[in-house]
Amino acid sequence: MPPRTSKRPIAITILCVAMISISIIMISDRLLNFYLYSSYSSLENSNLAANTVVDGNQINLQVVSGIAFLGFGTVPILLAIGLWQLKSWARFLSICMFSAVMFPAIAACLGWVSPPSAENLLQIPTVFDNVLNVSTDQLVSRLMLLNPYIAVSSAIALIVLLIPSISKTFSVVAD
Amino acid sequence: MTQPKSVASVNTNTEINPEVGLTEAEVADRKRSGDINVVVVRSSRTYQDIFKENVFTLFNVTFGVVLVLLIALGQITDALFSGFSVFMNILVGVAQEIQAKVTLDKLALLSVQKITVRRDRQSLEIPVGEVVRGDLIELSPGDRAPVDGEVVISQNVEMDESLLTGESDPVAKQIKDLVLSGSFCLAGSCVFRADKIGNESYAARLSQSSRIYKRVFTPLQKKIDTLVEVFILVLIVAAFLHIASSLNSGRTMVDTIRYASVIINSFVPAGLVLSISVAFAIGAVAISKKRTLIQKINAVDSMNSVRILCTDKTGTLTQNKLLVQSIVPLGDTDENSLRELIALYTNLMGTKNSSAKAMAEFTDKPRSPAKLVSEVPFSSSRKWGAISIDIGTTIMVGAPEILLTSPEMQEKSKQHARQGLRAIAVVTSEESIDSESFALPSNCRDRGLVLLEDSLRPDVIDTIAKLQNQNIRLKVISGDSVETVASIARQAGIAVPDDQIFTQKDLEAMEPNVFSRAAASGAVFGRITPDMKRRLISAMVKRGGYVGMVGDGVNDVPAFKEAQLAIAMNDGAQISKDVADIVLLDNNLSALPQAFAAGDEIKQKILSSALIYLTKNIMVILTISFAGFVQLPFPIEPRQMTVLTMAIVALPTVWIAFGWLKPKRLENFLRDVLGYSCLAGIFGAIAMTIGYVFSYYISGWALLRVPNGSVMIDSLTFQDIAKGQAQCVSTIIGTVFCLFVFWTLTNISIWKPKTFSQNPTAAILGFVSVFLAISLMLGFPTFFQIELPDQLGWALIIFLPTSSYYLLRMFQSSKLSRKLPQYLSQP
Repeated sequence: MPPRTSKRPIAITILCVAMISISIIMISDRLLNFYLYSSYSSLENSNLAANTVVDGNQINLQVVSGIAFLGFGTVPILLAIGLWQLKSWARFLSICMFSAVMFPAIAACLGWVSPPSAENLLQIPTVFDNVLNVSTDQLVSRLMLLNPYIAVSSAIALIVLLIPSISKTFSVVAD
Repeated sequence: MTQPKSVASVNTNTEINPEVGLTEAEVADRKRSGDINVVVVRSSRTYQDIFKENVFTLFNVTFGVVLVLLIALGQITDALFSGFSVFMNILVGVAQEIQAKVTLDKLALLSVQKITVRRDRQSLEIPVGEVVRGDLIELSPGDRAPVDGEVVISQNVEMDESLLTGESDPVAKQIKDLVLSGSFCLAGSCVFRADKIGNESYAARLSQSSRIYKRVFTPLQKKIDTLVEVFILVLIVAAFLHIASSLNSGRTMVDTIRYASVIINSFVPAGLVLSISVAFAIGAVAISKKRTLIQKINAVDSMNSVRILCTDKTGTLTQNKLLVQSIVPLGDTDENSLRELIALYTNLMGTKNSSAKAMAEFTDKPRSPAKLVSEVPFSSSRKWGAISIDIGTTIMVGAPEILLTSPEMQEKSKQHARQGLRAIAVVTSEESIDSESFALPSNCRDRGLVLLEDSLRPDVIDTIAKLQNQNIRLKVISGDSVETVASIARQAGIAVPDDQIFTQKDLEAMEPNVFSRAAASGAVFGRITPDMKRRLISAMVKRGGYVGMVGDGVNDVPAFKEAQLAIAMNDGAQISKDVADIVLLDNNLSALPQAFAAGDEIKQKILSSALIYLTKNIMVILTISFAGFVQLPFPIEPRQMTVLTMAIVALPTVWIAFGWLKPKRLENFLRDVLGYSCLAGIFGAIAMTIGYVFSYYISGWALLRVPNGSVMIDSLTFQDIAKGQAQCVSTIIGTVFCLFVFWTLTNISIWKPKTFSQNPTAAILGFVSVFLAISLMLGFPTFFQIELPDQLGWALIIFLPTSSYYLLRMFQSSKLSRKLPQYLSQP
């Protein structure tokens, strides 16, 4: 039996692993939040609960938003699977995704689009934020601080996907 | 239908000498007193018609009511914005149709009928508008009577009044009989006096009969109209659901009406219907530049659909300049006797057709002083004509297979015909012909053959090759002998296998189903009577072929009425021009391939516009439904809808209609337009909805995460802010997605950068239009009732349209998509 040789470039393997890891972190974060919400919603007298959980509508909203985030979280996993199998569609959609992450992140860094601050209605909490304790002194989310890193890592991923020698290894599905 | 009053009550100018006609002074006198036949040349609709048909549509009236309600409720800006695209559509539609009308009216003047009048003993050819009351008008076969009047000289004239009475049998007219305007001379000739002119005439009272520029719906228009009707039906249901949902969610009256305007705008592709009429109008002008007059607007679409083109031989394939090549005496007749017989016939007959003129030129004046006793004028149905002279002889001239008695003689004539010559038999008899039954005498004597040649038009071979390259099958149907027609057809480049040649006799003997097959398979039909021509065309149409008919003579008219596209030559009989859908002004078949290509281009423009309209409509309808399904606020505001429509529908369709862009070829309405737009609409709606929902909820998440909950906002404020951003994100996603669809239509693939440089106009126009629309919205967020998208919003705007468009293309090229129709049709 001849030895199985993989044609997958090492950069793609690394990218897939990174994408899956980040997705797992995002999903775990959401799942943790779901757990915390359900815990705190039962503590009616708790200060935290009084502050965070005002009425049923808002709890629902948080849950639905959490589900939306979970949906987001699954996209990189699906794309990573496609990339692992060297599917052309996965490459194209990954390019779309990393562009969609990189350009707004750069724009946010340059102040062209709303930075994710509480006052500007965008504060996307991640596992890096303290979920239940946001300081009023800190107007800028930690996501904002992470934006340059997000932009750079997306750019690296894009470069990897756009390198001609790597792109040739993907099978063509759509014209 | 009321019969006209007797002409006796009107100015019966009994003193006019039938041989002389009016004098110049009398004509001038009548012109001064206004007794002139004022003719309104009307090739197109009136300005009033154009305005009414473009403005007072069901959609415009319904939408107008909603706009009035919006204004009444103080929502003037919304009303103005919602009405803007509709107003622009009307403006462009009316302007284009007026421009087309002006051009076509100018061209129509070129095809105005001219008639022959007898004035001061001379025959003059004048336009119908110069006929004065009392003028003596000469009619010969193919001429249309322009006014009503009494016959003063009749030479066995037979008139076709079928356009007036529906009666297809010819009506023989004697002296003092009434000739009605709109009727046509079929055989013989006559002179009649113009008694009722201008608006008094019968045809004028029939509102210019069936002429020109009728608003007839084409097959494509019918399909789109059915689609619009389905949309309207769904709209009625949607309207009820919208009202119920508004009552249920406690939506204000103002919002209910504002959103109703969005729903109406999304459901009814009103601009599409308008853009079709604009495309037809522009197309009619474009085709007219090829020296082709479009008389009925549906001809533009019909031209593209033609798959079988039937043509007469004479005048269309050949030059219709007949010359006698030789005469062939038969039996014991010598050449001089034959020449004398031909000279007698051609000199004594009443009206000369082209064959008779050629024979008259070939022979000298007859030596014999014989006088005419009676005449049976030549008729294409009978295929022969005859004269009786006072020496007790009847000379019959016509089709050899009908007149010649001996089979050997008939075979001889066929041999000549196989060389492309038209053989005409000359036969004599001592018996006269019964003027009632027109039965041929039994004791005929074959005297000879006249061989006429008619050379091919110089460009006909090239033209036929071009038509055949456009997958149009050519068939020649002619009154000539089958051998002559087959020979001419072969010379012109039409493939004519021997089993595809049929004669009148063959066809008459066939059972209906065999006849139908023969009509479909035959390439050449010879010795065909006008009625058989009509039956052949009818059979082809019934078998599903889209049949065009080119002709120039009065004998083509019945077939014209059956054909889906009737094409007449400008120099042809007036009746054929009146009945035809289009007229070739240069009498040249070579204009046809260009005109067909122009017709095809127009159809492509319409299909492309339909694709863009339907994609946007289906996308917005589904987004509204999906958003309602997850109980979120209405996903699009009237002002946002206007920007979206202008950028991705109105402007692209205008560019396509004006020919600035060349969209890719769409063959099939069901598959390439409706199927694709449904699929693209679904993928676009999914992208818009995901963008809307994610943007809405994730903004909500952020809002609820306001520090320490100290400025916790209430649900309504949250809804307003979250909705503003979500609407902005989803509208931009929809706009970008439709831009990709538009680019696909113009052969641009977003993942093939080369295609952008190959189609720079489409790339730049599309980009600029969408960029301006988005900038406009983002520049005036308050006016457009939006919140500027944040980092996540922009991420969605970049990712969703591109990925959903890519998935759409993946689905299209997938095995599932290709095999879906097959799977669904399996038992």
